[in-house]
Amino acid sequence: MILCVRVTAETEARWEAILDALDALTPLIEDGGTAAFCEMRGIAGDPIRWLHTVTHVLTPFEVPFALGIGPNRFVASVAARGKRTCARGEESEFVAPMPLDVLPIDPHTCERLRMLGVRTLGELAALPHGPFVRRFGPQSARWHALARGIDDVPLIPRPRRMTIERTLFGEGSAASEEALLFALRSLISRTVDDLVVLGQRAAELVLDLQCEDGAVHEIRVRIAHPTAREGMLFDLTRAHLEGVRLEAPVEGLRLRIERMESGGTPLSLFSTQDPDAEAVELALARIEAALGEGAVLRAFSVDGYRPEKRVVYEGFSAGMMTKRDTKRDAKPEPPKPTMQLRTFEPRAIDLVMQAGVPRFAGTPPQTIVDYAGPWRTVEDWWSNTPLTRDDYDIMLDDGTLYRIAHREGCWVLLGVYD
Amino acid sequence: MLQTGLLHFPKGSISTLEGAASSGRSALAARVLADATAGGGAGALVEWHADPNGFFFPPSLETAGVALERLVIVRACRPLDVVRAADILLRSAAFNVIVIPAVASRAAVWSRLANLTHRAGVVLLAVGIACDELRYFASLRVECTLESIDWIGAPGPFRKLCGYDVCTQICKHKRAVPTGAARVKVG
Repeated sequence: MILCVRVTAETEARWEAILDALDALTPLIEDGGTAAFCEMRGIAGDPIRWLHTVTHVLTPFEVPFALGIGPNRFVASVAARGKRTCARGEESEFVAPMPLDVLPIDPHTCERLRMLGVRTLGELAALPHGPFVRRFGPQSARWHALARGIDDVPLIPRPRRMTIERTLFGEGSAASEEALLFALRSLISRTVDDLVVLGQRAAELVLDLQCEDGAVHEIRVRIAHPTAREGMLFDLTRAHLEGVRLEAPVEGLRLRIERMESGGTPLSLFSTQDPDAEAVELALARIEAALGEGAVLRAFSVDGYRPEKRVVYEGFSAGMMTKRDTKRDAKPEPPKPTMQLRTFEPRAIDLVMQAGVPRFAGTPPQTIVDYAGPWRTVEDWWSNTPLTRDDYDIMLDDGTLYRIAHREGCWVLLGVYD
Repeated sequence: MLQTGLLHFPKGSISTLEGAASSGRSALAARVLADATAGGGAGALVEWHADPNGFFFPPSLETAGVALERLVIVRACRPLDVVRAADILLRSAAFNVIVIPAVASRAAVWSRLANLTHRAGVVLLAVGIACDELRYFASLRVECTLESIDWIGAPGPFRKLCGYDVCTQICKHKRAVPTGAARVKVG
């Protein structure tokens, strides 16, 4: 028998807690997104007792819920629409009066069926199977089976979320960096032992430092290439520690592995030229600790008309470096150096136009000896704040090449060609 | 040596690309980064917020052949942060080329970076107007000068900047005779 627990208006965090609480009932629970399905086969008691137990388990959460028990998942979910139980052998009669919207059918098909006079599952089950499937496609075979109370898809157990946590507390306080690192290494060593036993690699860990003044510092370390190597985990955590300023000695440490991955580390057969991802990751962590979050970036080009719209930055991850674009790598490199635009934060400049031609730029004014443009860009013309901009390339008398723009009566300097 | 088609930048030492704005030094630096990242290696680009030369433009780097997914961009707020970032990157020894702005710093800093560069065996390329201390510790100094500019079309919206010719002059070379000039076409 399957027990369906449907909870309405619930946040993800509490939903996980509810699923954890249901673990006390049965070892096999499927997370259906909005409902949990518990396999009750072999569990002591009868349906009434199970319902009573689940009600007792869910009451502390103070959330509205509905329960239903049936021989399979579909019938149980239908039963959960009212607090009811369906015995084995009574499935088709039980679901027959239900409307079509309990089935996983798109609204358009539902409407077609209603136009044909089919409004309940019983009416759908009464249709001949073969012609119905030929008319509505292969997926309708499952609808027909469900309408007869047949659902033979087995439950999929929800994945277990594992965390490893180790604490070092009550063994004195660490007032120096050496003492803190010694304690950290010991903590990481124990955590790595746990990882090895489980056959997992750490992908994200959280270190909590509790100071004597009551302050708690949380350091989160994300690892692009999950690892169970003690030295690597220590170096990465240490790199993140470099950016933390502690006002008081540390009296407690807690290390928690938040995310783990199983299996080995994938390596490429053609990786001799690839950079050492662990070394890169360590260097990036140290730079972020020294210069602050967001100091290490990766850029990629996107389509756009304005130069500033053609680039997007995001945080760099060492995991991206090993992904190779074989098409681009196979492309021959350009035979000669190409012009580079060096961009500035747009800054206002003085510019003198004569007869529609830019003549002097800058303060003090320099003569513009050559120019190209204007190239007009019009964006967001449908909005209240449309953008109209004219871009120019200009060459000053000292040979410097600039990209400038004219926007809303102002001239701005965008970049320099170098 | 890292061959960039026209220049051989020695690995394990500091090199500089000097010159005024629009002298083609960034084009040459982009070419060096392209060579470093094309074969699967990694490159790093350290930029400084107050750099009078501005930031490199990633789409231009991509046009030059730089594999952006293997290019680490570090944004620093102060000149000291630039050399700090270069120090950390050099210690990792994971990057083939590290391009930094030629910030003014003490001789001890450049001595330390030169030592780390030698140990890591990478190319540390400083772009911009080099200070005296940097000039002293650089193994290769290349001076870039703009020679001519190629425009196509009559002045107006149909005119286009096609490129320029740059004269590169080797001012200093610790392992060879510091003479020689080359005319480079930047497209």
